[in-house]
Amino acid sequence: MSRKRIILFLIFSFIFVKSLLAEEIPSYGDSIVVGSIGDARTLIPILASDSASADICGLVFNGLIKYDKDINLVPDLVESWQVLDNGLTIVFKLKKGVLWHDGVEFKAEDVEFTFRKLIDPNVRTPYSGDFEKVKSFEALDDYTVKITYKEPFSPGLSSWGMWIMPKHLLEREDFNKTFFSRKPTGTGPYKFNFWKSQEKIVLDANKNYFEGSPYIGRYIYEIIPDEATLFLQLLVEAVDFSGLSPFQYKYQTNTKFFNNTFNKYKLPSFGFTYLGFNLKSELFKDERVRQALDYAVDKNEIIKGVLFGLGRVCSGPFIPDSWAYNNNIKLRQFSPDKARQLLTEAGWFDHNGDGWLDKDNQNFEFTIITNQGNDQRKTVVQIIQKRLADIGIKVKIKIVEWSTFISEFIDKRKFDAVLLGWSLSRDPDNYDIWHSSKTKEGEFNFISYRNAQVDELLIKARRTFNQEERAAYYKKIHEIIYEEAPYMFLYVPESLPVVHKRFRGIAPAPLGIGYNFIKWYVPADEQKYKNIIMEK
Amino acid sequence: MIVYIFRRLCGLIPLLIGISAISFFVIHLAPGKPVGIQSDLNPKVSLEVRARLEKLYGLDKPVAVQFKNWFLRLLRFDFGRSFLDDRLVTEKIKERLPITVLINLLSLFLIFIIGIPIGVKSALKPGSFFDKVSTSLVFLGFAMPSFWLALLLMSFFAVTLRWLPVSGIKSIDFEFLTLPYKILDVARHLILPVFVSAFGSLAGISRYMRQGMLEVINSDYVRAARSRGLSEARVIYNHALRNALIPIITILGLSIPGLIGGSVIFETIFAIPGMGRLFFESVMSRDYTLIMGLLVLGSVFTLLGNLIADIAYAWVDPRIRYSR
Repeated sequence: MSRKRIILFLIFSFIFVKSLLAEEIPSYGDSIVVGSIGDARTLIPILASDSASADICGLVFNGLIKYDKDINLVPDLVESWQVLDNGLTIVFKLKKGVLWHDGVEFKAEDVEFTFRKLIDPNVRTPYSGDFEKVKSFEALDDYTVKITYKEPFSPGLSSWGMWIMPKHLLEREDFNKTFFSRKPTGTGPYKFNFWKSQEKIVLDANKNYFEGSPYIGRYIYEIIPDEATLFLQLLVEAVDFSGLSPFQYKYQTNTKFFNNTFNKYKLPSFGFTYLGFNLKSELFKDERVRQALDYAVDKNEIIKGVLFGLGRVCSGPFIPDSWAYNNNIKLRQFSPDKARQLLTEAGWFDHNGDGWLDKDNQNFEFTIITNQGNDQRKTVVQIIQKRLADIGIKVKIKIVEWSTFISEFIDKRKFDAVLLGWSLSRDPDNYDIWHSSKTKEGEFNFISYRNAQVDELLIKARRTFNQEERAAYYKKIHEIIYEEAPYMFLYVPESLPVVHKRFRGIAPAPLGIGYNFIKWYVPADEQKYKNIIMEK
Repeated sequence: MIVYIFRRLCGLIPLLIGISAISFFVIHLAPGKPVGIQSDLNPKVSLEVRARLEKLYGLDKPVAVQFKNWFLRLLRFDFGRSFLDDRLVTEKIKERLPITVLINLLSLFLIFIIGIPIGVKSALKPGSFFDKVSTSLVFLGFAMPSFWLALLLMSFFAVTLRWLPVSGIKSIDFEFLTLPYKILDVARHLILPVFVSAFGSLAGISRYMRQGMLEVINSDYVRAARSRGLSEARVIYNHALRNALIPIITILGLSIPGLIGGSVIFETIFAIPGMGRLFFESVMSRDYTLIMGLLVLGSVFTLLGNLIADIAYAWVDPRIRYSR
């Protein structure tokens, strides 16, 4: 190699390495515009129950603990925690020197205040359930709190991910009409700036955040209630971060422009769609009938037809691939023959030759009910209707407005089968959905599922903090429920976020992409909203 | 005249009470409760919590008692607080009203300024080329779904040409603009919504105008004016048009309640935080106090609009006089 070439080579490698390094050093500044269908309702953390409010509260506040990217609990506002007395007591050691956005230090009294408000009967919080299991709450000093439960309650640990509120700003406020709901102060990576109802919510980076200042200077939450409009806003790059529908993901975003401008992500969502059978109905009392229906419906066909392939089959009520999910379950493969055979065993056969199955001179006929305003669910029901007609079962469809649907049909158990979805909490405890004591009007075991073994396992799993032990219980529950088929498990849809390409540092993980938002950045030469002044 | 107005105003009071009583009971007939949005299918919300929430909102009392409490507060002009976010109903309405009124006023102006000349011109030569084209066009606007037209225009003017913003009423950097640019910014955002909302309503006003004009043109006094040798322009604009405008005044009066209302679909497509969406959302979440606040406001405006239309009618048409 001649000397000239060596020099050239060195120069080029220098430029190359330098450009790599430039890439590696994140810059501060720029804004991100997040498009959302809905507006927040309240920014009081313990009253917020909708996803938009949660999006904002999640940036403004912190809990004592949080989930890391692999869905494990890790400290947030605490240094560490200890579970003592066989799970009766939890002791949290708080971080020192964490400041509220107004400069006051965060202390144990804030945690106690938040707790007292959660169990205060005059506060309209929907979250008191988990906290009412606490027997006593003690602040041992400014940085230590000790919580004692009436009985060991492992899902209680994750409930301390509840966002903590500042005592000094709220102790004299009436929670049901305080200014705080529209002008919150937290400890989180972003400070509240302003909120115009149904227009936007604007947050600014908290330079003094205890994990370091976020790179993106401003977070703008734009409310665009129509999905088609939101999509057009992406096309003109007025929105940087939003979710896509499966159809948009698959068919409307494969353009050169879109692929050059946005990064598309595909992550499993925390929820599943199912067909629930009312077990009080004579039709569905026989396990073989429920299994037969499960055989008769092709889940992959539904995923292809409704989600354009952007979903996965699931077999139980836990987050797929999480520690509680049982991956060893043998799925019932689509087989109309198997379905017919099971139904014949159960006494359902086309005795009179009219094309429909019958038993005791009654045709096999039932109604599937679902809520209005969700076209996916409507299509799913139609596919199920067709597949069940193929094996001689007549299905009628009823679609009802949400409030009516809940109060008149679900709460009162007036349905044969229901198509719905559950979102899955990060902690696998789902006592309220499967335990036989939770079948009263308005409770969530509305299909009236009853299994003594599942009841026992649910309680055992709540009483231990040992994850391996809990996993064993949940896997067994998963197995039993799949075998008995009180739900026909259909699919877990993918969540399909898109983010403008100028944002770097995004690393998809089981928890999604938002977990490391404070590490996202835009290289200095690509920053778009430079005229927006960060300091107020 | 003053006695007449006073009598009509007094007559409105029982009417208003009746309307609010009926509305109150009807909305309570709809299944579901305001606390549903916090507790529906949320396994974290136990039955006890839900019962407690209902009690805190006073929903455990009989409907008649709830109505009495609500009405007594209304007498002090207290519309109560929204069940959804505990904000004052008046505050929520105040926030949404200006943009809705602005868009409605602009589009009403546009409708009259375009619709009336179209009507007049069509009436002068019924069956002419202009008549046929304008009739087809206004009916096209009337028949076309507004959301579809809106999306087409957005996709053309905002995405393809990039001349106008897609939706909303302000740009991201609105707070950093100077006043003239702020006005310009809002104006740019309003072009499409105002056009879309006006286009669909041209049919009504131009048809009324055409019909009114046709009747007047064939009447005796117009023929008399012509026979006196007045120029055609004077005949049309001084004599005929003034009389043909009388029914339009009624329509104008009846449009008053429409000024504070908005269409949900239209506002949703354009991401405009207006009254239509406020009403729709309040109904979907069974936010009783907010629904009632909006209904009372709507009925007051409707009743007043009717009254104003009647008075204006008498004022412009000397043939009509109200008995004392």
